[in-house]
Amino acid sequence: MRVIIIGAGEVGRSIASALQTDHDVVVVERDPQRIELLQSLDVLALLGNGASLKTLKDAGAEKADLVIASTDIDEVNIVACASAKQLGTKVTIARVQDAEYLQTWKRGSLGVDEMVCSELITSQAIADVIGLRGVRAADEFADGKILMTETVVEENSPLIGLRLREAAIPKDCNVASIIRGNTVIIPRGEDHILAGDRLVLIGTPQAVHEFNRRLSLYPTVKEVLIIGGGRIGFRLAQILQTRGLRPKLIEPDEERSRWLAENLPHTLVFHGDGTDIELLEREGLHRCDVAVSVTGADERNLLCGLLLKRMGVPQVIVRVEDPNFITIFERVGIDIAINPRRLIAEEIIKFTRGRIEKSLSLEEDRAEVLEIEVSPRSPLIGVKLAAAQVPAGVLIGAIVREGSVIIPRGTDALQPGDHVIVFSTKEAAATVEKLL
Amino acid sequence: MIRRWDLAVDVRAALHLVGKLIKWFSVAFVVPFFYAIGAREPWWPYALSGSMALVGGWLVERAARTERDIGPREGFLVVALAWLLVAGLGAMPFILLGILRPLDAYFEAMSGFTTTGATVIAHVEGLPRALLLWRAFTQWLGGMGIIVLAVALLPKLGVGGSQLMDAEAPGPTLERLTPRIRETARLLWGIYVGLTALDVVLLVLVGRLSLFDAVAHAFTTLSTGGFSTKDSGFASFSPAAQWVTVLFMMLGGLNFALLYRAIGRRQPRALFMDTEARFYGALLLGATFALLGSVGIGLDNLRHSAFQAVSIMTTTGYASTDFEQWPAAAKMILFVLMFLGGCAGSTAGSIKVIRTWLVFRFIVRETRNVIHPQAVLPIRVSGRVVSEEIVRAVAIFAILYVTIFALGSIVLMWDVARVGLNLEIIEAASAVAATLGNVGPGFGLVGPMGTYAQLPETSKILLVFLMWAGRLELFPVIVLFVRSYWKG
Repeated sequence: MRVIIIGAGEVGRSIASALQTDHDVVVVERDPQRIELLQSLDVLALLGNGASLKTLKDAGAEKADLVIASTDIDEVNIVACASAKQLGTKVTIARVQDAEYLQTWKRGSLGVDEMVCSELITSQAIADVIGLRGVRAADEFADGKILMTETVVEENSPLIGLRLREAAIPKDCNVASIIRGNTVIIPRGEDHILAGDRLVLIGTPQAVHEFNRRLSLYPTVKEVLIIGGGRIGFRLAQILQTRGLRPKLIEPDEERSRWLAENLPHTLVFHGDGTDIELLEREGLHRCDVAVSVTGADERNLLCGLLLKRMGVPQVIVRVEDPNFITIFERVGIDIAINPRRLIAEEIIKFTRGRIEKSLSLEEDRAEVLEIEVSPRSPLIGVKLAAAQVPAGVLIGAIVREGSVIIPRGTDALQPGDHVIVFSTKEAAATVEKLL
Repeated sequence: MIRRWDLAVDVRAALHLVGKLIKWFSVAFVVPFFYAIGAREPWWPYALSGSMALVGGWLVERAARTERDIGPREGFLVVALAWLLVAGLGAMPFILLGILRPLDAYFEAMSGFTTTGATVIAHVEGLPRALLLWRAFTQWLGGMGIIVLAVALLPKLGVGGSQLMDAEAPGPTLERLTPRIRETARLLWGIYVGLTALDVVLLVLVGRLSLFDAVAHAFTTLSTGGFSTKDSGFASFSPAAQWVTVLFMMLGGLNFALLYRAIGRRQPRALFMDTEARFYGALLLGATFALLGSVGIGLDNLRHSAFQAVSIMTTTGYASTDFEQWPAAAKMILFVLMFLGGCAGSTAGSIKVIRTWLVFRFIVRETRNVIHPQAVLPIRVSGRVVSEEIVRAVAIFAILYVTIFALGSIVLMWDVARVGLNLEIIEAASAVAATLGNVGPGFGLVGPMGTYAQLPETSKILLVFLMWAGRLELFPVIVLFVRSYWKG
């Protein structure tokens, strides 16, 4: 495929690096310094304004299969997509930060074929790991019907030492792989659960949450504190409200806090600062189950996060914009650091895979998770899974059939049109697409 | 001498409009005029009063001829003046028939148009029937509002119409049902006429009232007025008629815009989703059972409790029994109900349920803010945020209302003492609350079976002022006494 990426910021660069091996990638960027940074990649870097018709022509938008507009400015991205579409680009994807644009846009309108919204993706990702202390990452498949999490088995977990088939795993949940040290195991029922293992779970969100709770001995979340009422903080509060929670939110700007209070009927909004210890103690905010710091400044998020951790909050999640900080933050005591740009890049990359609707890599590419539509020519169709020739290192984690989720057992069989979520080790990955 | 260009208010434009309103108001006298002819009663007082309105209005309109439109400032003046003059004309038949002296007649007419229902006539059954019909008709006109009616019917009143309706309509919000104010006024009147007709039918069929009594009482039920054609009021009608009236008083106390949505647009759920309507229902129910508890359990007592709770809270003022004889606790409950009133946009008077609710939420919010000083806590009604300006305006209205009530009570006590009349505190206070809130009867001398006739003339002037200010919800009247209103 011929792909044009507009904007070589964090998002643009990580997309370019993911696509460079399989596709012809052209990157358009206005800033010469960022162009320099692209030298290490196997892509063509062009200096220019991605929203201008001339630059797009130079980049070959007339014959391009895909244009990804990923600058930090929403309007530029939309205009760039519209222009590229006019020139004849087949598919355009725009990254936006403001969810308002998502509401204006309908699939295909404005010359934008797909729109991905970072504030929604980020707040959803945070909401997915809230209350799951052992959970390191969470992802949704099939429009949220299926949840996948990567969960650490803590020292005190009652499940340590049990075989998988003895662990009373909920019916709608599957252990898709066990990450132990540097190896990824596609498990069978005889495998043991050991302390420090990371289990990749897949299933309906309820079942996965239920099993996670048993793994990490963590009580049901009641109180969530959000620091920073920007777009992400606002969306996150909205998501939590729909779960029946009554989150608390601290916002330093007076007018913004008033706006938040008016638009979040079930959220208690405080006008103040997340580092104001007196406020935290007076309102008992440090006694919450989960604290999330999503202000625009990484250092501030770190400071708030560490402060609350020190004050005894069991789970602290922070937003981090600088990708270099992610591991540092988690090393100094933050439970989960979430990087919006990495999330958005993953979301965009999934559009570049034809039949494969979503793909993720586990443990630095040692294993892969794919969401894929079963082809009518697949050799597995109509064969019971127990009898089917599924290679070692491949596991079918979940099936979505006509909108409902099936966690497959040996007696289930695939049908054409099924969407499946497949796990595979790196070695077995190549066989998956042929198999399905 | 004040020169015209010194004033910030365009008095000429205001008078022009007042003249026009008065001129058209003359049409109202057609109703008692034809009834009097049909009933072989004296018809000339209505013809003469109507002619005075027609000619007087026309003269004022001519004398103050202008092309200028009115603004919000003039709106207050037009509404305040129009209501004073309409009451004056409404009093004419009482004077011309030789039944009442001019001040008493004016009191009776103001009590009529403001839907108060306070009377100075001890023996209404002796009055000509055409006059009884006129008396009820004044309440019906005043209930939905003479200005709203004028906006609905008169051509070319649409422009300044919304200014006027804002000044006249009861409650803090006038909900526009349609983009054109005239259409809205027509819809409101349409609902009003329809419900009145339905009430007449039910009173005749279910309540066994004569057609005349049914019409007269439907007029004063939907308008939450309270004038009756019987000396003992609703005590002389059947229990069925009383239950029917409980229902229609409740409807009269509901927001007509909400009623339009529930009936006109067939969304009855709207009634149950609306915060004010729910609170209104809860208060009525609570008041009914509180009264029942005070007067004693029993089927008749249940009926009287429901009737009296609805009648007083919706500021109608009918009596199904002489509640003067009730125990003190029950009377105190009724006294408190006088301050609640109906919903915004209804025909009821007093503070209004929505204001009470907002003041209550305001108190809750301020209390919570004492506990959580930095919490941001907006106030919501039916899920929508109420702006801080409205909350403040509502709180100020409530304070102003209670202040005027307190001052009015003191002045009334002084004034009756001056002429040697001995009023109990509750009697004086209830007289002020009942007129300011457009309820009607109070306790004691001015109780359900008594009248306001014995009060000195100066007191009657005070109470007329209170009825007028109460019906227009204080501000349109109060601003007229503020210097900066006139001086820019």
